[in-house]
Amino acid sequence: MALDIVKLGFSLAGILIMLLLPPYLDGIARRVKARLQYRRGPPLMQTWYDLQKLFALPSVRPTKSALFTWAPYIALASAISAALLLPYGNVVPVDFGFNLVVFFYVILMVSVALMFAGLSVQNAFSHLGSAREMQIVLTVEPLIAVLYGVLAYNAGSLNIADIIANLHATPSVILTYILLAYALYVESGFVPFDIAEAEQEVIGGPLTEYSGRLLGVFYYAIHIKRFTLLWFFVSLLTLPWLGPIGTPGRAALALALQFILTVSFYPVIAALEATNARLRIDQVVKMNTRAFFAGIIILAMAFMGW
Amino acid sequence: MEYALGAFIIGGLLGFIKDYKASVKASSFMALIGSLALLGEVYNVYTNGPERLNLYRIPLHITATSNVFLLILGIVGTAASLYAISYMDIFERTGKGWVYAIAYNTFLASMALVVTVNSMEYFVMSWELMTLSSFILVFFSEKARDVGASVKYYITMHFLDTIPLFLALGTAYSLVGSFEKLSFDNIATALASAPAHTKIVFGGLLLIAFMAKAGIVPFQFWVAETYRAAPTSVSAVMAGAMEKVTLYGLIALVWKLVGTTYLLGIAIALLGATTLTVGTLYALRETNAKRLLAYHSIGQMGYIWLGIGIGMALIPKGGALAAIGALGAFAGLFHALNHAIFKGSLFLSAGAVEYRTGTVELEELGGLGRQMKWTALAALFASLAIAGVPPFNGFISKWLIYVAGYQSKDFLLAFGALLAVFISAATLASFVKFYGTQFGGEMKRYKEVREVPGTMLLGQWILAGLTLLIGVFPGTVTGILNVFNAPIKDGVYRIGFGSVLFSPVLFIVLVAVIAVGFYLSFRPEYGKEATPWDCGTTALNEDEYRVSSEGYYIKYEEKIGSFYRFSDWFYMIGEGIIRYIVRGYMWIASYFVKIVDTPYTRIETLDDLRRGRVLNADEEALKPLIRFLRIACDVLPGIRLGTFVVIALIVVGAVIGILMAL
Repeated sequence: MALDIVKLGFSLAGILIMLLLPPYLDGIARRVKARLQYRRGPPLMQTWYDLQKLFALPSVRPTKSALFTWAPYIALASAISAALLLPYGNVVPVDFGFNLVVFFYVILMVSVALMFAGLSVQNAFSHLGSAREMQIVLTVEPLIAVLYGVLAYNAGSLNIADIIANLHATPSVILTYILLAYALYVESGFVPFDIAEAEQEVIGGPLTEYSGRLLGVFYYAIHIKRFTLLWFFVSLLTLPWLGPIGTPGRAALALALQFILTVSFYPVIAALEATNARLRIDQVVKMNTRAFFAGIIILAMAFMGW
Repeated sequence: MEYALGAFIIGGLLGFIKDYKASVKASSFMALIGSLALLGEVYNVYTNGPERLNLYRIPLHITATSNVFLLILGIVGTAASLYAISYMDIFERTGKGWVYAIAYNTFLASMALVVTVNSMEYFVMSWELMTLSSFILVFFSEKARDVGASVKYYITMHFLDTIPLFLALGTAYSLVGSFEKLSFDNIATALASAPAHTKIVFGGLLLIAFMAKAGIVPFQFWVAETYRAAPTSVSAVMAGAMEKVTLYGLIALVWKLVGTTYLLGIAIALLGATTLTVGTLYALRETNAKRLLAYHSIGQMGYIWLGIGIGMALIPKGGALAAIGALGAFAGLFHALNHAIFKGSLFLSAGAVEYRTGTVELEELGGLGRQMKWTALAALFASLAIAGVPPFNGFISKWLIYVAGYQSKDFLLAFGALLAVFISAATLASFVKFYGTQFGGEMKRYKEVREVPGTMLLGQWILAGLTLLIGVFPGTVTGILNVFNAPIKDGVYRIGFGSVLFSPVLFIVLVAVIAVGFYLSFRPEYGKEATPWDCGTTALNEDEYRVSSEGYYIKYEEKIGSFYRFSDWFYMIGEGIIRYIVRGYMWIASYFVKIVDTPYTRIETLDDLRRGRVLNADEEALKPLIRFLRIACDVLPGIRLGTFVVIALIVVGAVIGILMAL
């Protein structure tokens, strides 16, 4: 039973990290952006304060649609479920399908909920935002599919545990990491890829009609989604090279490494966000199509054994 | 089985009730009984094993493979027939209940026969019956555009299905040597010792026939218009069941009889991958709900062929790869069942919208979510299922196809799998549009619309409920489906292959607990109600304050425009060929119509022909004689003696001349 207690401990740590850290990460990003613009910036807790305030406010109701009410909660549940599917140390809190495709689809459900939420209101701006969100998914998904192909071929399985255990370093894997970082960055909807929610153009896209608590739930879901994608990348980046993680001590080390890397990646993301302007949707489509063909070349390399 | 066929026959006969509504309702009801009997048969075969029987002297052999297809047919038939009881009312003005009754019941019965007969002869015959009855159903509405579509469908089927099938029948005859002994077992024995080129000819002919009927890529041009033209409940059966019958042909005839090689499997898989890409990307830019669904049928058939192709390519290799191949084939078959369920459901939803609003143009629809709550929810379930969102059934089968493709260690198959993943996103995109444009928002134009009648809702919900049920408990159907003995792991709560597992029950419980938990602890509080924010515009048509169905992905479509141009080119070739064949038919047909008497009349469509008076062949043959007699009658009374003498002299001279010549 000792092992189970360890497992429980890691799961709890994971759940705490996954629930509490994401708004802090946003706080870090805001601070970094402010510093780049020679401002002092808000405290790290600021995103938490914002969420707290939103949760305390009632929502304005533009439609009686039940989908409108339920979409934020489904988005949040999907984001949390996806986060629970990732390894914290070497422990997966809830293993309902520890493989690449399931993970990707569960995280995609956040976008699905967002899109249907936007479409449930009679508002051209939120429809436009939903359609844009979909177009981004449409261009990112083939790219991610190719990269999964490389990982699956390299490790011989789609199971993430097998990939962690069997991945071997080849040039194609290194290139895959680069493209995967790009793909996940786009998928997270950071600037310059925040086209769907573009505040200044389509007044928040699918979120246009949301306010108060429901908006807070959606924001929380989006923060968790971003955290999850980053944690996924960091896990794939670190865990295969740490060797077998047998003891709780090594697992704690792995978890610490994951945590530190996640936190330290965020300033980089913030710097990218602060120094870029939003792209147009057709530019994103073009970039991602190119990345897709690059991915196919990488896949061919992987099959040739490089 | 005999009960099912009996019910279909009674259903057909019930069409002779005079009253349109009564005949349509009664025959749809009998079709429902027949479909339920088919399901009973499925259960019977599943528990007692394969069954051989002789039905009205037709030899039947219900194997485990047939059983899968009977299950598909039973489920779709049940839901669609139940739905048709109310739905067919909208065609009342055609007033031809008996046509529908006979054709619909024949259609279902012929499909049941195709997947169960054990004789090449009866297979071809039932196949032709299926094509003919579906053709009649397609032009049932008798609108000009629909008739055109149905003619195109029939002629395409004629050239690409009937001819190859009859040639294949001839090949089989030459192998076995007797029409009475053309059972599949005998053909298999004969083929075993046949030379390789005979096998290639036989398999190739069958493959062309099945590809054409399934709408696999070079032959996809007939699908969209045909499914649009048919009454929606029939489209549901066509997309749900008729397409799957071709898959039965592929498995039972091509694979099991002729055998498979790695190359054939790769070819099938690549055809599937191409088809799923082309079909779905065409669907993406479609704005007519039924045409959109039809293009998705093409696309989803591509998924199924990809799965079966993986099986056909890898099973001959043996070892660990054979296990992955079996997984692929199983996933393909599973997807066939799932596709039948969600595509049937989607067609029924589109039909429900048509029933209440009279249109399936996405451009005109909108805001039905509140008026037609249950239809909207069914459409949402089925949309998520076809887009492969967990925990619906489409996800499970697609996911197994991806697993098989990715782990196949084969570049082409992995490429097929990644195209499948990509197209899954395109499917999602297209169904976000499908759902959003019809049910999203609120429109004043459709304020008065009500929910559809109970039987129609029930028909939709049988299928929509199954998408969730099978998605959460795939174990309910994997027993029937696993005819390839794929080493899948399926317990009560998880399904998968090797270490790649997914537990839909755990997933849905997790999501539900978190969502409901958050909902209960942070209940949404609503302050005031407000109309959607429109930036303070004063004169705004609120119904049009949205994104039109064309505008959804316009930027994306522009960027992949070269793909469309390239595929259009292929499309044009196929359609061009069929157009010239249709022209040829029209040219022949024009000689049976009075129009030829008027010079310079162009005959291009059936409508041009309809304007003329129809002539019958026997009438035509006797026409010169009748014309002569008429002239004689006109001329004789006014004849003068001199003329008469001259005519008589000519006749006598002619007679003498003939006699001398002899």
